[in-house]
Amino acid sequence: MRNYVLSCCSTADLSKEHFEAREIYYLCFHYTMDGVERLDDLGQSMPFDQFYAAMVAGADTKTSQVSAGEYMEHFEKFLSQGKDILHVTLSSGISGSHMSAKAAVKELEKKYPDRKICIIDSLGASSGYGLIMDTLADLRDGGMGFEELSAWVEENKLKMHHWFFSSDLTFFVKGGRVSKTAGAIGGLLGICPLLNMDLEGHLIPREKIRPKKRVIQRIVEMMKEHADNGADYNGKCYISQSACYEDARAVADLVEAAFPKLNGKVEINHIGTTIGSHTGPGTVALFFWGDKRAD
Amino acid sequence: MVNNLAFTEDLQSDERYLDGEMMANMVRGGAANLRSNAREVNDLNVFPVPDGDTGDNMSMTMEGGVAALEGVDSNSLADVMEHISRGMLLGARGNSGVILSQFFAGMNKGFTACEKADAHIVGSALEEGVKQAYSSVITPTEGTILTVAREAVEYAVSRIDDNTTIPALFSDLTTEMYASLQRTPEILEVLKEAGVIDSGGAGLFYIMLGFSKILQGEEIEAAIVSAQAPKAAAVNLDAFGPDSEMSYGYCTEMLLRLQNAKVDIDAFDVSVIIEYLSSIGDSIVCVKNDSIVKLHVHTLTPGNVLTFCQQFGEALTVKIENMNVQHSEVEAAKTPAPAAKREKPVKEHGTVAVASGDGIADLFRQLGVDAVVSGGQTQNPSAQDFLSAFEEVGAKHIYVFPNNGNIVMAAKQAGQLYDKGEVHVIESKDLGQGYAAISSLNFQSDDAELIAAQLTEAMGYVKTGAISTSIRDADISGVHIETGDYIGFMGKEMLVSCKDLDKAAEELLVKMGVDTGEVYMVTAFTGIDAPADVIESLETYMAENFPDVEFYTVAGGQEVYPFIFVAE
Repeated sequence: MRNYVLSCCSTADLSKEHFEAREIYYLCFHYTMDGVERLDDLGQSMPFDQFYAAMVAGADTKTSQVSAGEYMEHFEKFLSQGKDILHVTLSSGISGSHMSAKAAVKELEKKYPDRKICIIDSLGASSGYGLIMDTLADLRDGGMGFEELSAWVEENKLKMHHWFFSSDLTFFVKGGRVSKTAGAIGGLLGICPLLNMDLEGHLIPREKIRPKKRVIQRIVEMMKEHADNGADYNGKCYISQSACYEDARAVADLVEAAFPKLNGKVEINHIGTTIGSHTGPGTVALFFWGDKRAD
Repeated sequence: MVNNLAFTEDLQSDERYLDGEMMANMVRGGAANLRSNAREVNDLNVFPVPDGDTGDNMSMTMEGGVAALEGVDSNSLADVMEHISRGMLLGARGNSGVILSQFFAGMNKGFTACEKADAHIVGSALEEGVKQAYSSVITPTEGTILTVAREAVEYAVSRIDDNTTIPALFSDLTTEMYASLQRTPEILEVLKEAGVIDSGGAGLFYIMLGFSKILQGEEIEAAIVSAQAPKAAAVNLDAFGPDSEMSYGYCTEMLLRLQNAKVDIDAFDVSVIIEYLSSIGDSIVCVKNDSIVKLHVHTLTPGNVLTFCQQFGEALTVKIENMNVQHSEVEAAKTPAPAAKREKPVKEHGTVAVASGDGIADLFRQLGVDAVVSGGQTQNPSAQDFLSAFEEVGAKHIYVFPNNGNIVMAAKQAGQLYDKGEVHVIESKDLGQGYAAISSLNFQSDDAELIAAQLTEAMGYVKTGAISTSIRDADISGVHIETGDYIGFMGKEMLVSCKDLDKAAEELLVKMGVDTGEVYMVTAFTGIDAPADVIESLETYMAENFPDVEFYTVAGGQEVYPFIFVAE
């Protein structure tokens, strides 16, 4: 019998049903919109469309870190049942939550000296972080033990590719997630910057491409270049998008055509309110397993 | 010292040798002869649009050589040619200007250490010039200035023997050059189709004709018209302070219109002016042509010159420059500024782009271009213009976007003269290529070769089409064109001719493929001649007929072309 749980944060951007079906426990981040504190709860309390429409209308959104206390509360639910915890955090390159989780563990070690809590920095975000969790669930279900799985995710996490584009970097720059100089061209006459996540889990604009139809092709080229076994990639592929389902669908169609051995159809998720507070609407992100990130 | 441009006896004293002074006079004469024929050379344009500029480009390049002669008092051929060559390298504009400057640079090599040269040496120097001109072009095209230079030099050299005089050599050269020029349409199909001879070759011919005329002792009419300095250099006011002592005097130039009320114009002899100028200064040039006298003198009392000359007529133009200031500028140019003066941190990567039109320049700056060199099809920047921009940016790696096929070589030439880093010329041949590459600017990799390769790759996805007005009737690539028509073309391909601007624009957009599904986006750069209602109707046309194509308009502010379309 398994004696550990898989845990992550809501910023892994999978649907509530998906998390529940895979038995992945999640802790909700929170954010404030126009001064009102809200929960990043996978679109339960506020539908995503409504959230992005409010952003476009100028609503002021701020994300706040999950505190060590909240982590303690979350972890204790499992520790008190005698379970160990493998918790994977949102990239330390864009969030301080990894530190909070670590701090929580320090506190809890005294109270539960016999329990093991492993905190792993995903160096990933959104459904890429989600795809890591989903893969961990597969391995867990395949019988991999706590220690082995912890080592596996540490070893493989940088093979999770995050590629994304946006027709507007305004929100990225506003939230400080992309440097001002790199983001200066956002929204200028149809330029769509193509970004990915680097070794340290930072968002890096890699190319500036115009127009959108070409960046849609380009992002799939990136997948061809980097995916495991290239065109024979047989893993899963996730996409997350913020209020631009059609663009995401166009990418998904190209991916499904280019990778006939794909494990299932491309899963298109919503970019949740935490990540979405930094991307704004108009972002499409593509995730797959591939070669280890080089820089 | 009296230095009467065309008539001095001793210049012709020994026709078997070419010396520095004669070379200087020839270059002045060649420049003047080209200047007065520049428009004709401009009009030898393959397309019937008013954007020909070969004559102006070559003329400005020659002026660079002439300007470099200022203050040179050596009679050594090598010294004089060194100045001319350097001045032309910096002054070079347009591809023909660059080739021309390389031709002279080659000649300069041929004159190394020569006080003076006989016909054999001059012949070898001319051959060296041809060689260097050819090597300045990656894939030399025959039927151009290169062919004209080569054939003329081959012919002239073949006729050299121990008795050949310098005037005879250049006479042979120009004779064959003229013949070679007439043959260019037989070699180059585009010339034949357009019914013109090669413009660069024609420019070179006018220069050599000027040389020949000077050698024959002829006067060159245009030499009387004051050379138009391309750009007034900024004067360093600190070079002459409250306590400075005037030592060099004033370089004084004047165009004097003789007046019937004051003198008998036909009988008037400039020796009276020369005599007076000799008494108050030196470096005197004084030439009369009909009722105009051009004079040049270095004097401490320029006011006296004006007063004296007013006895005979009135001034058309007057130029007086403090030579102490000029001198300090020359000195400053010789000694590089001390490094400590540059406090600005050196950037790793910088960019320089050519743009014509304020709107295009602004857009480029927004996209991250550090320095915009103004210029375009009708006004090519010189190598010096580029070099100044490079100095201003001062980066270790500078990426340059010429955005015009005819500007690429000047950019490269300037790149070789830049000594603070490496210049990478991204060979954007038109606005679209430049816009595409500049839009993709990204120095993330910090690898100059990779960055240059990516910028070059980014140019591959665009097509550029332009609309202009025809200045003559023509049939090109099966398109019938009447004077005044709006014509649309992509590069060298003529596509559309229409009486209406909006129809011409719409047809060109279709020819560019907006209906094929392969064009995702069009950016329309509107020129100063694009009426607002036409722009508006074009936006409506695109939205109604091609809603899938993203269509943006940018007020480019360019001349000559009401619309430049960039399709991606």
